[in-house]
Amino acid sequence: MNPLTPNTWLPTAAELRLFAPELILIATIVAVLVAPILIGRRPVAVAFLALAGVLAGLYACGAVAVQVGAGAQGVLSPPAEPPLPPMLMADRFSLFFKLFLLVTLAAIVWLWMIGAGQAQRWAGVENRARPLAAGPEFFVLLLTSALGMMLMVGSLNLLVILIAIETASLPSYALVATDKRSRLGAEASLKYVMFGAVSTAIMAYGISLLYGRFGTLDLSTIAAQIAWMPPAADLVFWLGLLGLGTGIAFKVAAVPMHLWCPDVFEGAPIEVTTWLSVASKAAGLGLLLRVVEAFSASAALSDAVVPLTWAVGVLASVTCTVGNLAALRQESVKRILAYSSIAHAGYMLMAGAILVAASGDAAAHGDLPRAGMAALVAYLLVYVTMNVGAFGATALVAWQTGSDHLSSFTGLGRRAPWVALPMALCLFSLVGLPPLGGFAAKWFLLVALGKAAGVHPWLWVLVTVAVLNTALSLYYYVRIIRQMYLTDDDALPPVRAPGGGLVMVNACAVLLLLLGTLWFSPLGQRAGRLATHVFYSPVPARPQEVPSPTGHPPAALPAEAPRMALSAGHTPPYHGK
Amino acid sequence: MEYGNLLNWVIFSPTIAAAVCLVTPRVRAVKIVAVVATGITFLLSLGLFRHFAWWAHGQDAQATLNVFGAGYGQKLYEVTKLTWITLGQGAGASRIEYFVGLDGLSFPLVVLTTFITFLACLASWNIEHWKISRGARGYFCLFLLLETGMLGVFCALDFFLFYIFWEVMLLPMYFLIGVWGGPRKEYAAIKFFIYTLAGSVLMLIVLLAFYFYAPAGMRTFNLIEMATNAGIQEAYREATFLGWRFAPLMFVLLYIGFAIKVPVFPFHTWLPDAHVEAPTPISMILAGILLKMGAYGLLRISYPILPGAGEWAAYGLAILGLVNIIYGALCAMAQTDFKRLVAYSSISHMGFVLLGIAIMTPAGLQGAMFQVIAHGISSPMCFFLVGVIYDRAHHREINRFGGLWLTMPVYGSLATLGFFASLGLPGLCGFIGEFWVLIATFSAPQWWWAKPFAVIAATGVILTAGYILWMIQRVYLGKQREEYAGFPDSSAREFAVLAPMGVVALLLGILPDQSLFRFMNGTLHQIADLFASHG
Repeated sequence: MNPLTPNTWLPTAAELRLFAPELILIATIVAVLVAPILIGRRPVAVAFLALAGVLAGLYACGAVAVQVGAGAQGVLSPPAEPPLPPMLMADRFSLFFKLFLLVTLAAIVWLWMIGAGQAQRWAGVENRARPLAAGPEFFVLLLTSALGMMLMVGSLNLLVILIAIETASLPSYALVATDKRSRLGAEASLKYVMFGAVSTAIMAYGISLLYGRFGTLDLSTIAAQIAWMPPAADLVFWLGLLGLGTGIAFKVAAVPMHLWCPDVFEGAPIEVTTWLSVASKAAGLGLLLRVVEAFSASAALSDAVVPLTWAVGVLASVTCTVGNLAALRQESVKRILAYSSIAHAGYMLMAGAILVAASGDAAAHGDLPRAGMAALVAYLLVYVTMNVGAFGATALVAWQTGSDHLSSFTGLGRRAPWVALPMALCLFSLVGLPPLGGFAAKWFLLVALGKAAGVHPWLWVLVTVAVLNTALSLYYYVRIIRQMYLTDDDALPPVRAPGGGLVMVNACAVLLLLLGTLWFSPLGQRAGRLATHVFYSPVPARPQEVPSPTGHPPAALPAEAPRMALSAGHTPPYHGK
Repeated sequence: MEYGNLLNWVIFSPTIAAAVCLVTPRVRAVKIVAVVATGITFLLSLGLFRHFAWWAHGQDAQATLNVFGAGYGQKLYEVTKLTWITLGQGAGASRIEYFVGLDGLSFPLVVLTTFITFLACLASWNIEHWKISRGARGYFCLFLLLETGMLGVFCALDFFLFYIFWEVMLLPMYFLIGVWGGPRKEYAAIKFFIYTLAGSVLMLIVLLAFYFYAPAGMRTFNLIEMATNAGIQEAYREATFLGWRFAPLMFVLLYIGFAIKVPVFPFHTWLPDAHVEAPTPISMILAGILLKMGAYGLLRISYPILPGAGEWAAYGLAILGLVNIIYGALCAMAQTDFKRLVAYSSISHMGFVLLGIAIMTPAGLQGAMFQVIAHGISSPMCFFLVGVIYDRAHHREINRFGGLWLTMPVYGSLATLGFFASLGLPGLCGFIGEFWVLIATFSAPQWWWAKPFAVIAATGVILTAGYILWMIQRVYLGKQREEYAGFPDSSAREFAVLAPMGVVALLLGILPDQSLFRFMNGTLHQIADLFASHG
């Protein structure tokens, strides 16, 4: 307790230590903001500062992961009796995503630094000079959005979730328009703001409905409450959930909340595009899994499992197919990759469908949730590699030629063989062709789907949709490859790419090759172990029992009780206000 | 099972050579590396003969038993079995294995692959003189990777591994057609790519379904196990898949995947485009080896694992075979482009393979496999023959040629040999395959439609004779034309490519039993026994 203001709860240093990654990131943000005052506007120096902060955050994240692994209590909640649900958690689940986000962030900063070198090279050349001056602001925004995403995966409190999503989104809007002279960027940013505002409004509305219905903002408490109150016909509950889902779908860019994605990805500077395509989706998926997991323990939803799985499955299939179909006729490589990222969000949502399918009755499903989670973890790891590689190569080309149009890739196989080759490998990996990492990712996803289909046979439909989409997606990825290798124009000069960029994209390609061959099995095993850890980590201080007005501890009630009660014509005990 | 490493060397020597090619400085050196590597691979594959040496075992039943084992998959040679990927954890974990091995079904195809690839590599020697000659290093690297992919497909006995090799082969092929091909190369390459990938993703569904529909504890990707394990077979027979019967549905999905490769009407449209646009050596490989993968897949996967569904589908598949024979022949007759004619003749010839497989008798399988090998020799030869005059005349219009035999006597003789082999002249390889399939179809006892189908198929032989003789007449016979008078006869290199194929075509035609049947009949009988035991 704080001696000065005895009624205010402040977390102790020991509690806060587990949130070191976030705190370090906040400190970095402040440092980046202050630095120009002290050392003048030196963008590259600021970039190094930001990179140092990110790496420190990564180190802290690893250290915290070790501590949490050893059983440290990673929650922030005021002391009370009975214990209140936590506002913020640092469990293995969130730490995995934080690590993931920070690694991606480091890659993005690196990419920006490569681009900065290019910018100095092209200073003064129309179309190619990039705004370097915005360096400090760029990093403030980038790191803040990263902070928001890290918070997104660390809470079950609806209010914190809302704030986290906003923290992630607001800087992103500005990031998209970093290049002030770019009309496309401004337009994209405006579209992003509009979509973001609407989806936030819908989500806030959904959250308010949930709060009104259950009298709490904590999702795990809500999940425990609906055990008493079968939600099958509870319109308010479903509307609230729908609103929450809309917000998440916006972050993941799932259909129909995907419309912002291509324009934003095309208009934004390429570092921002890469960042949004990977991190924003990962954070959204993390949040989705959190929500699913919160409800999965609740047997009351077992009636709703099938329709819910259908809903997620259909959403995933449609997202995947729409993304692929729309990509077929694009001419801008960034746009193609944007639609491709929508399609890949669809594949990852399929893993979400597995988790939904496996919820409800834990005993019947065995390690299904683990399989689904493992598939998702593997997919995310491969996906970040593929996308950083593909966007990185696109950046190298676009910085040199001043455009990311397909035509600027003409003859790249001759003009820049060490950009074209990794680009081709990343694209083939995005298709999901062996022996590349993308195939491994897809394989684990399909195996998990097949396994889940043992319980819900119609999940084979998802398998079919996924593989047919693979064939569909081939066409537009190969269009880029065709442009690089099958067409050539001797008049075009060689593309000189900076060494750092070459190292980056080729490292991604080598990694993908390894993941598809020698590391195929380790990838699956590691993902499986990670999934076991992240998914089954006991969420500390999550209320095991919810005190109920009637005095019956819910744990004493058989799982079937609510349904029986309903069929007997009883009104289930009502919770909340 | 006899373990051994020779097969691994055969499969991966080309990969090693591809890596060497990458760092080899000069184009000429790259070519030498590639030719030497494919040559070494061929020689290594000849070492596999020791396992199937009938001349060392005698010919009685006991010798067959010694060589081929008592049942399907019980005697495999040069096996390597390593755990690659573990699915799941703990006791319920199942393994994807790097499992390669050789039996009578794959052995002839492996030798055919190394043989044709070596000759095709020789045929690529003049790459500097192609219209698109840039990137010879890339060409040979991809070429060698392609060989690894093809050999892997024929050797893999784990379904997952089979699928990997099947896909791995796609990428090099796409570039080989797309970069070094003719005027419409991009269209042809992407068409080939998309068709094949569409087929193989269907295979991927089957791959997963085979795994998950096996009873818990028996789940495996081992192709031999799936075909012979009674528990798995039982489960496949009884299961339903989304409301359909499992076995027929899986059979159809697999069939589409393989049919695209064979290619079976109506999935054949990629083939004329790909063949016509591909450079000559790649056409040789396409026709000689890639088409055979479809037939091999049917014989290795579809029929042994789902024999019941094979019987269910026999009528339809036989009709598809007939359509291929007749339709391919009619199309070939209508072509004026020399290479397109040979391409359509491939479709027609592969029809016999389909028919032979569809009737599911031992004789049918033998005929089909013989036709596979025979066509694997004759069609690359035909494509190279076309390539030789294309190099000189720079066009392929049949009607603009004439009297080439007078100008190029050695080449003309070899050409006649090659096209007669394709036509099915007795004494050459094509005859035995077609004849065997016709006899087997005619005498298949269990199908009422067998006899009429055999008669219809036999008309295909006449059509074949028609278009090939007519083509020979227009191109090689007749009056010598002014513009072709200066053509040099076949060079030493061209002779070196053509002569071995001609010799093998003769050998297969004269001594079919000693040169091929005895190497594979044991395994084919075992596959046919699987059908019988299925009841």
